[in-house]
Amino acid sequence: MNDHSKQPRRTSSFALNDVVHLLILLLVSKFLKSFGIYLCYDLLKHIHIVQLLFFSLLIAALFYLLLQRPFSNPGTSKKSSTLSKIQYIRLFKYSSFQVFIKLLWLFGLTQCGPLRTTLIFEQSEFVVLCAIKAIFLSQTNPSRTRGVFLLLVGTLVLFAFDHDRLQAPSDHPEGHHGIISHLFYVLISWFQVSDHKAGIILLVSALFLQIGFNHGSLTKVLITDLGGHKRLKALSTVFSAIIIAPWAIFNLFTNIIDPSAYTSLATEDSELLTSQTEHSWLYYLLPTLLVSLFIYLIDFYVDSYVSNKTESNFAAKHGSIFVFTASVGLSFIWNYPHLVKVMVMDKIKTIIEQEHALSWGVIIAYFLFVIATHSLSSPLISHKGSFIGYSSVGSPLYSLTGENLKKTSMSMVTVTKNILREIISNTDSRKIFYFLCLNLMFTFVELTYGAFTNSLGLISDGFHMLFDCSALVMGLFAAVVSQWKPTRIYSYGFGRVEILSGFINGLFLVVISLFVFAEAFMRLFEPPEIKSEKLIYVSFAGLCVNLFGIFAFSHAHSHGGISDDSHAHSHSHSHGHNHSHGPGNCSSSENDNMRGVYLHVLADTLGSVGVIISSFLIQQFGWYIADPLCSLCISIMIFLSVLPLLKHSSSVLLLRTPENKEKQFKNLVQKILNVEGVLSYRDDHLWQLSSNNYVASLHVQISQDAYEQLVSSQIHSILKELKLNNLTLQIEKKIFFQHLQGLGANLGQIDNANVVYRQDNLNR
Amino acid sequence: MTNLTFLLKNKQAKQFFYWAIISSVVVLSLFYVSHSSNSLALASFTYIIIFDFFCLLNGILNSWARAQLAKSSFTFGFKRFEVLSLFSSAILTILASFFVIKEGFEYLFDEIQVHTSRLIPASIFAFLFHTFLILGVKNDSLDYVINSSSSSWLQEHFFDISETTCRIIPFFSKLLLPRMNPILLLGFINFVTIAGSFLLIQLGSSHMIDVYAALLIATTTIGTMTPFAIFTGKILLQTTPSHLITQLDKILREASTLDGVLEFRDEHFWTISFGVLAGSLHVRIRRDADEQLVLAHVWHKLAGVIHHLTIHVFKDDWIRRTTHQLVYSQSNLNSFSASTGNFKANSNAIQNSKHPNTDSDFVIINP
Repeated sequence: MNDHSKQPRRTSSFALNDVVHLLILLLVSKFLKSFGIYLCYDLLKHIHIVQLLFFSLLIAALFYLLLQRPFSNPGTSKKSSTLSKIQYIRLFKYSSFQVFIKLLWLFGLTQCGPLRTTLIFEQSEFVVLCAIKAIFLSQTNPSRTRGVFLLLVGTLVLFAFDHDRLQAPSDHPEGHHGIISHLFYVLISWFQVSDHKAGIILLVSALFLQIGFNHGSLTKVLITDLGGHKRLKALSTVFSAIIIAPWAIFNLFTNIIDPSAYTSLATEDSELLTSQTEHSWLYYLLPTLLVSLFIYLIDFYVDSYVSNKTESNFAAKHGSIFVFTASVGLSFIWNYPHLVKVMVMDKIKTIIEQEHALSWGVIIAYFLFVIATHSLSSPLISHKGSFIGYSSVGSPLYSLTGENLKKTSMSMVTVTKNILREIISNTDSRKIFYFLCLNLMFTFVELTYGAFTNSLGLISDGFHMLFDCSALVMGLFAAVVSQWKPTRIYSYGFGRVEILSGFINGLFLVVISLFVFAEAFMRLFEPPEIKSEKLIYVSFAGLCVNLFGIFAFSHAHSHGGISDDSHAHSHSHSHGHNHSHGPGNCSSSENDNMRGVYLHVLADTLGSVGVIISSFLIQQFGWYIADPLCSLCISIMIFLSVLPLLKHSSSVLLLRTPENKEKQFKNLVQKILNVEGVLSYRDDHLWQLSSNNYVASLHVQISQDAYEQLVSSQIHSILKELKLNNLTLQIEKKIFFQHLQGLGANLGQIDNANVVYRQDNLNR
Repeated sequence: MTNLTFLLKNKQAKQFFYWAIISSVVVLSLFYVSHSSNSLALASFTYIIIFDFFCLLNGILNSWARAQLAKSSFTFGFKRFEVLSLFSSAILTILASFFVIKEGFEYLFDEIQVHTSRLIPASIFAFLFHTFLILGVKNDSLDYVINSSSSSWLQEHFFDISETTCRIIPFFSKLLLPRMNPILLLGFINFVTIAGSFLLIQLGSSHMIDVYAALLIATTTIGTMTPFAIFTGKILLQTTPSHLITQLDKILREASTLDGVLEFRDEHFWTISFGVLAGSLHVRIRRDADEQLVLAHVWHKLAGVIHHLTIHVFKDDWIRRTTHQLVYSQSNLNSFSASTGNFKANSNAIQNSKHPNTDSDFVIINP
C-alpha cells in the first residue's frame, strides 16, 4: 500500500494515510451541513421561507464577496472585471433557477422533515447520474445494477413504508402565506397525497431539476465564461440574494414574523406559537448565520477542496454517505431543542415528539441508500470491449466490437419504426400484431373500468388477459425474428425460432391447463359462492374479441407457410436443386408458431365460454358446482388439444426424420443405390429445419472408376422430389479412406453400423 | 412396457426413479402446506423443487436414451432428448414463476392472511431437500449446462459481492470466489427470503410481505433459469456454438489454402447434444483438382471437432451442365423399381473393428 502511495497516481484506491485528513474534513463539513439542515428546519417554524432564504443567502453572499471577490477577479487578467450584458442575463437566469430549486427544497423540508430531506436531496449528483446512465444507456456492471435497484427500492421504501398522517390534508391550512405555498398546497390536495409523500415527490423533482440544470448548457457556458466554479457560485449567490430580496422585503412588511407554519404542528396550534415567538431579530440572527455558513459556505469549499485533491467520485461517495449518517445520528438526539420548548408549553409536547419521527422505513431506506451509493460509485469497467494490450503509456487498450457501437448509435424512434415496419411486412406477424393490439386495448379498458368501479374481479381478469398477451408477444417476436437473415451463429437462419416458440407456447398451455385443473379440483370439494353479474358481460366481450382472433388465425392456420417462401429462397444460392413451392404443398406445411398462438386464443375462448355457461347455470339453478366442473372440462380440452402441437414441434426440435417425408426419403435412398457407380451409403439424415424447410445429408460410397460429379448430380435430381433446402452429399471412394489413413486421421467417426450396401454388389 | 423393465433393470435409472418418487411426494406435501398456510412465497419456492424433480426425470431419460440405438427416425441418435428435456424443464419453471408473479399481482389488491406456523419448518425442509438433491444426486447433463451456460445475474451479483467481501477479508476467498452453483444459490436465497419474510411477519409487519417475497423468489427463479433456457434453446435452434467459432474459422482458413480449394459455402455447424457436434459444408474446388484428396484433407481437419460431418465437394461446371443433360439419364434410372433389398452391416462386426464385407471391391480400412 505504502509503495503505491508514493506515486502520484489517480487510482481508485488511495492509501488511507493520504486521504484520512480529507475524510475527516469531509466528515466534519457534512456533519455541520446536516446540523445546518436541522437548524434550518427549526427556523422555518418561525420565519417565513422566503425570508429565511433571503437572509441566509444574504449572509452567504457577504461571505462570498469577502472571500472570493468575484467582481474584482484578479486571477484572469484577460477578462475585464466588469461583466458584460449577456453575462448578466445568463447569471440572472441561472440564479433565478437556483432560487427556484432552493425554494422547492425548503418546501420539501417543511413537508417531510430534515432527515428525509437529507436522504433524498443529498444524493450526490455523481451517483444519480450513474443510475440514470445505467437505466437509460445501459452503461452498467453488476454492482451498478444492484445500486440502481437498491436506490429505487430505497426511494420506494421511503415513499411507501413510512408512517404518515393517515388522512391526506384535504384543504390547505388557513393562515397567511405566499403565493407559492398556496399553489403548493393546492397541488397536494389535488393529488391527495400526504405530507411526507408530497415532500418526497417535491424533493426528488428538485433533485432532478438541479442535476439536469447543472449539466445543461447554461451552466457550462457560465463556468467557462466566468472562470471557474467558485466565482460562479459566489456571483450566483449574490444574484440570488438580489432576486429574492424584493419578495422578502414585501413579505417583511406585509406579515410581521408570521409563524405561518407550513408544518403540521404549527397549523394546529398556530395561536399558541404566535404568542410565543415574538422574539427580537437578534434571536434569529445567529441560527440564520449558522445555517448559511453550514449549508452554503463550508460545504461548498470543502467539497471543492476534496474533489480537487482526489477523484470526483471520492467526494461524491463519501460525502453523501457521511451526510446520511450524520443526519440519522442527529435525528436520534435532535429532540432536545424541542424539549426546551416543550417545557414551556407542555400542551403540545406529544405532538412535537411525534413529528417527522424516525421510522423503520427511514432506517431501511438509509441503509439501502448507503449501499446503493457505495455500489453505484464503483468504477465502471467495460466488459464488452476485448482487451488488446497496453499502450505505450501503460494504460490498457480495449477494442469495441461493432455490436457495442451499434447499440448506442440508434435512437429509440428509429428502432421502434424499424420494428413496426418489420412487423407489418409479414402476414403472420401482422395478424398477431393487430390481434395483440385489440387484446391490449380490451385489457386496458377492462383494467381502467375495474379501477374506477373498484371491482376486484375485473382487475384480476385484466391481469389474466395481460398474462395471456405474453404468449401473443412471444408469437409476434418469433414471427418477426424468423424472417431475419442468417448470421454466423444462426447459420441456417432464424426459421427455427418459430418451432421453438410453438413449443414454448405449447408448454405454456400445458402449464395453464394444469393450474386450472388444480384450482378446479380444489374447488370441487368446496365450491365457492360466486357473484358474477358483471363478469358475465366482460367474458362475453372477451369472447367476441377471441372469436375474432380465432377467425383471423384459423385462416392463417390453414394456409400457413405461404410467407415462408421468401425465406426459403435465401438458401437458394448454392445448389442446383429446384425448390419452387407449389400452392398444393401448402396444406401439408404447418407453422408451429401460428398453431401455438391459435391454440392459445382457442383456450381463451373456451375459458370465456366456460365462464358464461357456468355463470348462467349458477344464476338459473344455483349450481355452484358448475364452475369447477366447467374449469375441469376446459383444462382437459386444452391439454388434449395441445398434445399434437407439442409432439410435432418436439419431433422437429429433436431432428427426427419428418413423418410425412420419411417413407419417401427411404424409397429415394433406395433409388440412389441403383445409380450407376454407387456402392453403398451411410449416415443418411433428413430433418426439418423450420415449417417448410428440409435439410438432408448423405454419405455415398462409389466405385473407383465412377465420376463423382456425375453421381452427385444424379443424386441431386433424385432427391429433388423432397424439395430440400440444403443437401450435402459426401461422395467417397476407396481412395478417400486410404488418404485418411495416410493423414493419420481418426476413423472412429466413420461408423460402419449404418452403412447400407447395394444388393447386387453383395451378391457379386 | 419394455421401457419400464429397463427402468427397473438399469441401476442408475432406478436411483433416479426412486428419488423422483420421493421428490414428487415432497412437492405434493409442500403444495399442501403452502395451500393450507396460504403462503404464495412457499408455493413459489416449491417450483424450484419441481425443477429438481424435472431434472431427475431428465436423468431417467438420459439413461434410457443411452441404451437406445439410433433408429431410422432419429438418425442423429437419442442424445438430443436430454437437451430438449432440460430446455422444457427450465421453460416450465419460468412459466410457473410467471404464474406466481401474475397471482402475486392479483393478491396485491387483496387482503391475505398467512398462517406462519408451518412456514419455517416446511421451508427449512424444502431447502435441505433441494440442497441434497443438487449435491447428492449426480446429474451429468445438468452439470454440463450449469458449467457451460452463461452466468445468471444472481451469480454475477453474488460474485461481485463476494469479491468485495474478499477484498476486505481475504480469508473467505477459497469459499466465495469459485463460481457458485446457480441452483444452489437460488435455493439459498429463496430460503433466506422466506425466513426474512417470516421474521418480518412475526415482528408485526403486514402479511403482504409474503406476496413481495413470492414476487422476489419468482424473479430470482426466472433470472436463474433464463441462462439455462437460452443455452439449451440455442442448441435446439441449430446454432454454431459461439466458443467454437474462432476455432472453426481457423480450421477453415487453413483448409482454404489446400491445393484446389476455391471456396467454402453453406458452412453449417451445430450441436446435436451436449458436446456432440454435427456439421455440413460445401466445398467448391478447381476443375482439375483431385476430389477425394481434397475431401480427405478437409475432412481430416474438421473431424477432430465435428462428430457428424458431411462434406460436399463440387465443381462449378458440372452443376450447370448436368442440370440440362442428366434429366434424361436420371429419368431412366427412376424407372428401376426401388424394391432391391438392402443389407445392414452387423454391429457386432464393427465392435471387432473388422469390416464385414472384405470380399466386396469396396474396403474400409480401419485404423
